[in-house]
Amino acid sequence: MFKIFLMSTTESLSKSLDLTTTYLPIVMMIVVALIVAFGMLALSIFAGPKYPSKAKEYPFECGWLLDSKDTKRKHSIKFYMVAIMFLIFDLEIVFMYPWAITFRQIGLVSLVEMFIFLSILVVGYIYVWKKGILEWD
Amino acid sequence: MIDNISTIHFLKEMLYLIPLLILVFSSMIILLVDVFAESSNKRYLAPLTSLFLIFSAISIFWLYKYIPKSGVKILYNMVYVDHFSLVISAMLIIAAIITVWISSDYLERYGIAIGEFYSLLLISLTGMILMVSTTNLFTMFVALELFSIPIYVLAGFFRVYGKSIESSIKYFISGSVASAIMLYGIALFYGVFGTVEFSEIERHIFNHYDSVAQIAKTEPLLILGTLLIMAGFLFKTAMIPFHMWTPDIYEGAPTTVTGFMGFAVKATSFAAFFRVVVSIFNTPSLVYSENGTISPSSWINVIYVLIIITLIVSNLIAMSQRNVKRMLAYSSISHAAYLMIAILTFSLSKTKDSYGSLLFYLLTYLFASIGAFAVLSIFEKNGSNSVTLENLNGASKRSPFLVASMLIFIFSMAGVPPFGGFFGKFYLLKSAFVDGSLSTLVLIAVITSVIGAFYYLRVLVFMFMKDVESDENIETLNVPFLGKLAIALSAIAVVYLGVFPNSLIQFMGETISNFFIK
Repeated sequence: MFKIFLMSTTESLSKSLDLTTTYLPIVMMIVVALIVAFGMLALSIFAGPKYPSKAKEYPFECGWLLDSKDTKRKHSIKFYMVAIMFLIFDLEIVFMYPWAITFRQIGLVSLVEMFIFLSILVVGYIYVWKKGILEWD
Repeated sequence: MIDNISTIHFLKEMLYLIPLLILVFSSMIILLVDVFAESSNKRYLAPLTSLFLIFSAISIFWLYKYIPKSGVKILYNMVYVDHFSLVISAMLIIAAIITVWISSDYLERYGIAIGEFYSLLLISLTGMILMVSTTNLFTMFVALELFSIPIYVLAGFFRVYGKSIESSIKYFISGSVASAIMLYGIALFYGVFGTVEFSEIERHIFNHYDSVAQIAKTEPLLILGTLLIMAGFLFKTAMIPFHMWTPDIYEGAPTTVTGFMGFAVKATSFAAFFRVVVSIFNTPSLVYSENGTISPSSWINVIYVLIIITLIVSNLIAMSQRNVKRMLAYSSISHAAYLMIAILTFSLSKTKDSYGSLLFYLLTYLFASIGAFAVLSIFEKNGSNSVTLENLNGASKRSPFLVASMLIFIFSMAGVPPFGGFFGKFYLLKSAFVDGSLSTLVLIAVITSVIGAFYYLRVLVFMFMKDVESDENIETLNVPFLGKLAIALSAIAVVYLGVFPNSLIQFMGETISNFFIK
């Protein structure tokens, strides 16, 4: 009875050990990333030169300056257009990564399929272009 | 590197997808033509779109003769084309053609971007056809999203009207929640069985479980998954209590879009639900308890209760509607209940009588509902995007043609004998009654359809018997050619289905019986 218990514990122990070894590189990578990121921040906070000005103390926003009171301000629709377009073409690239990796296994048919997919997106691109969404003014 | 056999195999598979491919490429072509064409040439977009749709329909007829009765599985079992899917696809394409014909003038009147409209319609149609031709839960979900998202956009196509935008946003939010719920159910099925293929799920259930009680004890997640998938379908088919979105969205959306989604979304969801029921839910261990009776915790009982609630509530609420679009929305909810009776009959009785009723009812509903919305889209006062009963005052003087066809559509929906809707209801209720266990349901359905006759006929009262107070509003309506063609053809189809239902119902029954060819 005890022997079985012992066996099962050692087995589970070895399994957990196995888990640790497989995930150790990932944990290490996370730790290193944290050290680098916070280290650089800390360095710039403690060792960097500081010349504060009014413009620098504004909250950091991309594209427009944040109004403190008026939260219902309308923003130009162009921002949304660009965001949507970015999303689509970004996803296109994301989709191409696994395709490129498994390309040798799936063969020529996948090349045709990918070009069909790309040409569908190109149609969208032409549409966007002709509608004048790429022009900012 | 070039594998000849696999290339030929790939091309052969593409052959089965021709109706879909035509739709996909035509949607892109329409988009490009719209961008490059001069604005004076844009009125040719509607004929172009309907030309593509007719090509697609022809390819469906050709495929129908070409494929074996047991259907073909293509693209690594992700898509399944059989006679059932082709029949539903043909209905959907007919619905789209009618919608395109009545939309071309309607959109021009409101000054709306046309090319995008047709393109979105075609994309949505692609999703619908894909959804009915799959036996894979995951493809089904992707197809569901593919047809829903263009419909959300189409509902908000009148972007200057608040109601249209409201309907679009409401549909989007509630629809996404429903999709998420359904996806959760699919995930649970995958978690239990490790597969999303209908036949394999059925095999697993059949081999491992005997009764509902046993499933509830050993694998309760399976019951939950069943209910969640069902909830997704009940939302899309707008059964009470999942109907809250319907009236607002039907009212706010452009009227031609309402007509399209009133039929197409419903037909697609019912066809897909039918497939799920036939393949998965009808497995005896999901329906029956150990002693062979229907288990109290089976999904059948849930549907049974919901049908009763839907029949009563939808017909009662529809009586108090002054807005005709809202009234038709509630009427479409009650039609969903009738279609659900067909599905229930199918799972309970094994007689061949019940086979054709679902498809035949869908066919009659197609012409009556889209036709009715087409007439409303012409009667609609400019700039309001809604039709109240008072707007129809004196309609018989403004356009006798429209009123006559509206009479046919309304009579068909109410179930008055010489028209298609009567025989749809008749066959459906007859097969439910013959079975015996559903006779209470049939009784309630008959009583509520009498209630339904009240609000249907009230539309005709306003059209024929009430006059406009001041004479200035009386002007003859100018019905555009394509719209006239669409409405006339729908009216003829409704009458034809009522006069010669036999051959079609037999055909539909044969289509369904193909499910049982192994």
